[in-house]
Amino acid sequence: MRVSLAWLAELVPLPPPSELERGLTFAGLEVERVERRGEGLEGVVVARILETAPHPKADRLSVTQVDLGGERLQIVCGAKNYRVGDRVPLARVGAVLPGGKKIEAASLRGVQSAGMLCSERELGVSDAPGADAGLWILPEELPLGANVAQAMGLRDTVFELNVTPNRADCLSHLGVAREVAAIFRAKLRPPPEEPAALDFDAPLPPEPRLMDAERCGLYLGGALSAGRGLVGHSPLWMRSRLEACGIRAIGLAVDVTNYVLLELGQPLHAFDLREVGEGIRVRRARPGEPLVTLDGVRRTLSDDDLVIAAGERPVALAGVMGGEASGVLPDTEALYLEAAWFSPEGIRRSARRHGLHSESSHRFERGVDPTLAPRALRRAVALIAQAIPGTRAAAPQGAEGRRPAPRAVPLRFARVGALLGCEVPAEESRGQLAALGLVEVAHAQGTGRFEIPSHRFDLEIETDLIEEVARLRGYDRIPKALPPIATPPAPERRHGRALSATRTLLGDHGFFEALNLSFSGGPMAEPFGEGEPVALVNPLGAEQGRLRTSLLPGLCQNLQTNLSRLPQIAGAPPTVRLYEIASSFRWPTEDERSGGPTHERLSLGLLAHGPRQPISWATGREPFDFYDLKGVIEALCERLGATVRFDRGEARWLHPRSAARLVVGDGGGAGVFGEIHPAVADRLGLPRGTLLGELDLAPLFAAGAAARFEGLPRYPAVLRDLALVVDAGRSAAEVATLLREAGGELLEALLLFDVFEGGSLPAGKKSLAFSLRFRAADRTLTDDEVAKSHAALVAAAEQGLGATLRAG
Amino acid sequence: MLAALEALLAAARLEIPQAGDREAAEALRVRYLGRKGELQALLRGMGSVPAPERPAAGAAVNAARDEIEALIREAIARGERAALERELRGAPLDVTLPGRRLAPRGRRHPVSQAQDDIVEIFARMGYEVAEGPEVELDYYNFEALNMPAGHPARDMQDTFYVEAKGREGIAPGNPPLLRTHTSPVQVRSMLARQPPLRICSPGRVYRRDDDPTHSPMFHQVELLCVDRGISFAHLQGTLEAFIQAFFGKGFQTRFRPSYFPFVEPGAEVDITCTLCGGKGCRTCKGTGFLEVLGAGMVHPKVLAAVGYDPEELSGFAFGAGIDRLAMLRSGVDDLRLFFENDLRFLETA
Repeated sequence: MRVSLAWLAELVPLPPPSELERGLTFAGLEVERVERRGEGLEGVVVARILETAPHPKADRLSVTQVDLGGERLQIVCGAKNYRVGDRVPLARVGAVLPGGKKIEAASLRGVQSAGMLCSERELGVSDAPGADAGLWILPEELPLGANVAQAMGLRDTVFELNVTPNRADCLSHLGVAREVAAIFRAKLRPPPEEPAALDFDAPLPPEPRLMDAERCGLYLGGALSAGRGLVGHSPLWMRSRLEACGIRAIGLAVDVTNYVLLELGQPLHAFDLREVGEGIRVRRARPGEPLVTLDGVRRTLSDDDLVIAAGERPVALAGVMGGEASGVLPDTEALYLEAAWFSPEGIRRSARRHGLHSESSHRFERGVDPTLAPRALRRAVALIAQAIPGTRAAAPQGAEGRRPAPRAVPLRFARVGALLGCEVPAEESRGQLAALGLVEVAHAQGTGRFEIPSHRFDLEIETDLIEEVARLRGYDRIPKALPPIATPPAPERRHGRALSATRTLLGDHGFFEALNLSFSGGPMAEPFGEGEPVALVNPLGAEQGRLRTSLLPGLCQNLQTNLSRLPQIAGAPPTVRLYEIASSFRWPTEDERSGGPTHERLSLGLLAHGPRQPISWATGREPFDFYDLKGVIEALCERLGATVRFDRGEARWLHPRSAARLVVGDGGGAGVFGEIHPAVADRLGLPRGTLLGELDLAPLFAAGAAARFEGLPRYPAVLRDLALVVDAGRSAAEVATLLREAGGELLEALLLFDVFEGGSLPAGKKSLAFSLRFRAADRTLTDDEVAKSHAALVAAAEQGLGATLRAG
Repeated sequence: MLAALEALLAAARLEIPQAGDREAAEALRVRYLGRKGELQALLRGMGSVPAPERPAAGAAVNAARDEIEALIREAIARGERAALERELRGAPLDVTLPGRRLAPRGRRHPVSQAQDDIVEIFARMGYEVAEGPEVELDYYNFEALNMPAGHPARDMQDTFYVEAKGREGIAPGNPPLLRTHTSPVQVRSMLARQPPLRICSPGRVYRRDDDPTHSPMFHQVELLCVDRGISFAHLQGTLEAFIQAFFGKGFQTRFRPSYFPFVEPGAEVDITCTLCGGKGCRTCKGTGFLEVLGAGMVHPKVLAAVGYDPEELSGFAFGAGIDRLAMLRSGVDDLRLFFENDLRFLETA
């Protein structure tokens, strides 16, 4: 909301602007911007044209002599719209116009010019169409030589206020003036009240009829005739105030409706009286009924839209926008002025449905003082009558529906201090509320009953009143204190430690944490994710059309971005290791339950590309590979205390040879990882060999168990090596599992320390070398016992796996 | 025999000290004292010594062996001292060569770091972390927070809706949406538990705008404290304590009346400008303060909606943008950097 201080000052005495700015801001009407108008016009003065003659060498220019009140100057001018005797603005030599143009003494095709005669646009007074059509012709009564900005009342300061949705009463100068009066305890000077009727003698349309008393609480229509002046210019002071508030001046009739809207907060609409001769009906639209609104758009209405109809024909979308053919027309001489009260919800739905947002709908959907309409109508008539002597106006016609009734709200004075946390005497509360126009109508036992003025329809309950007291008192006059601690220590965040451990561990392994938006779509997302995706009704774009089912598309995108920005170092590709921890989304399957409407899974996405170790003089250039990623995941599981196993895995996006599945505890899958599928890599424009993984964190975290100390072993261990030759297709886990089973209690641990293929080994075979650790809990093992165990292992391997001992 | 012994000893006294290192000394040991060595050879001649002289000869041989042994030990020790000396005097390493690292550097995202720091501060103040779904129902996100359908405040938060046509269990008046704030967690927590309640809910939130200063997804943390006798003064005190814990002791808070449908009285909170420290600069438009969060006393209608008695209980709540707090703390001036995941940014921010 733009507020002109010049205008405001008419309604209430103002403190200096900086004090006003602070006062409003700290009472809840934040001043977002301060604009000073009429600046930069220091050297622009009122001049009268004494004579004008054609330029001897240029057809389009003329040479004028102007009078500044005693001083005469010769000015070369390109405009043609003036006559001798007109007063016009002259920018003198040395003036700097708002656009930055500096005026200098010049010779135009050989003729001296001591300044520039200006249009409205050149002075930054208006940017309305036509504002640059010619010189700005000033009113005759201005003193010659006077500063134009001063003489025309252009000097003004405009506050841009952030009016919160609950304070629709402040969407007008009167409303803001009331706030100023309350904050600074100043006396309000409301605009003058005028008589409503001025000898209107033409026939009136039939009385308006309300067909929907819920949606329209009051409809007033005032007929008025004033001649062609209605479509002419409105007075300059009115135009400059409208311009200051960001509304373009159009013509008297429309300008007056806007002026009253900005002054009092009541939206008005002006119809040509001829268009409403059949009488106004306020009714629901018929489904599919067409209406061309003022913006020239043809709209198809629904039966939830309220229309103003003249007879049968809709002429306005009620409270939102007028119809094109029924408003003020070029030959309008008489008006039918509408002032109404519409219920906020209905207006809001209509405005939303049609994507329309007008000054009128903005106010109606937030709320307009339900008693304001008659007064606003009188004010509009008075302003027109003031501009066009001889205006005739009829007493308004009206129809009433249901409007909010006046109400009173009780306040327990003791509650004020209790809620705010400081002593607030009843007298202070009374004083603040009285300043806002709330009248205490009853009092009993520490409780006052306050009658709410009609413009403060936002005040409904006791807390609303406490807030009013608090904001006028000033939040800085409420102390700062800490609540007493009366709760036991808060429980730890669910998974808090596990999340923190995961992030630390990944950071230590060279991974950076990424944060990507939760949206996905587009080709990058195509290979990834599972389950039924959750689509958005109103996405920002097709590429962000749904919620991500996987974190990997985002990480792949990040890889691409980084590869395009990072240099190769010493011939090695840049190191990119990223992870992200976030929810991925899908619709739940039938037997699934979730905390929210969709299934949200806490996922860990992993991506790695580039050398294993940072490039340096001392390290090799081997790429980070499958076993590096697996090592990281193993370290993570170990850190979390989760017992896991790894199986062969598969996914559309994984290389079938290099894909593993992480299995937690007794067999729940917790994600897959491995090398990107070469075809997917090629399609997405990613380097082959990139490592990807996506883990499901909830089961992993749930499986975590804190290790318990079992005591140090009391008897020594015996170590033996065992090298087995097995089929190359056997997995290491298969062999290790068999050895563990066959080793029984005595085999405490085994470590696979070498894998070997080729060389002297037959084709299709590989050698696995284990270091075995034997120990008994209750005695020192003898060589004999160890030898027996070892032999049993060899036998089991031979029988179970067809293994042979590798010859030394 | 004795003469030969004397001669052997004399040779050893001359020769052994000449041994430069352990190897040479060990070779001399073999030569003098080994099984085929010179002393052994002399011993083999012991048979020719007359019996009465034998004890004296034996003693002489033993003494000679001891002496040679001592000479050799000394030679070895001297050799080792010399070797160590050489070793210590060798060419030094180039200590300026970079060290060898097992893994490159990795780091947390500044927003996630800020989130954990915030949660940690509140944990110390006795607040429990509560989390909730990011896809929410209208009821929790708006309705229960005193923003029924048609409420103009819904315009302040342009909402993403989820396509749920034909889905089971989705009521027409209660569509699923991406939560616009973490406040629905408030509602869920209050519905699930009895006061006193102190919770802190961090998480991702979504609003439908995308420009240089807004991202359609960002992070918020919400604090809620409900108990008997909780007042606006407690809100102000708690917030200032938080701001000072997060930014530093010198930071002040300033409260301005404002409006959020789920609190009353409501406030916008400004903090001392992090750029100029309150002196006034372009970023804070000369005011010395920056607007950082919204707060207020939990609205009685919100308390009533979750079955709490507003006559008995009161509470405060506030919500702050984690991304914004992280930006202010680390001097990041473009929100979009947080979501680009450029490693050059992640390494330093």
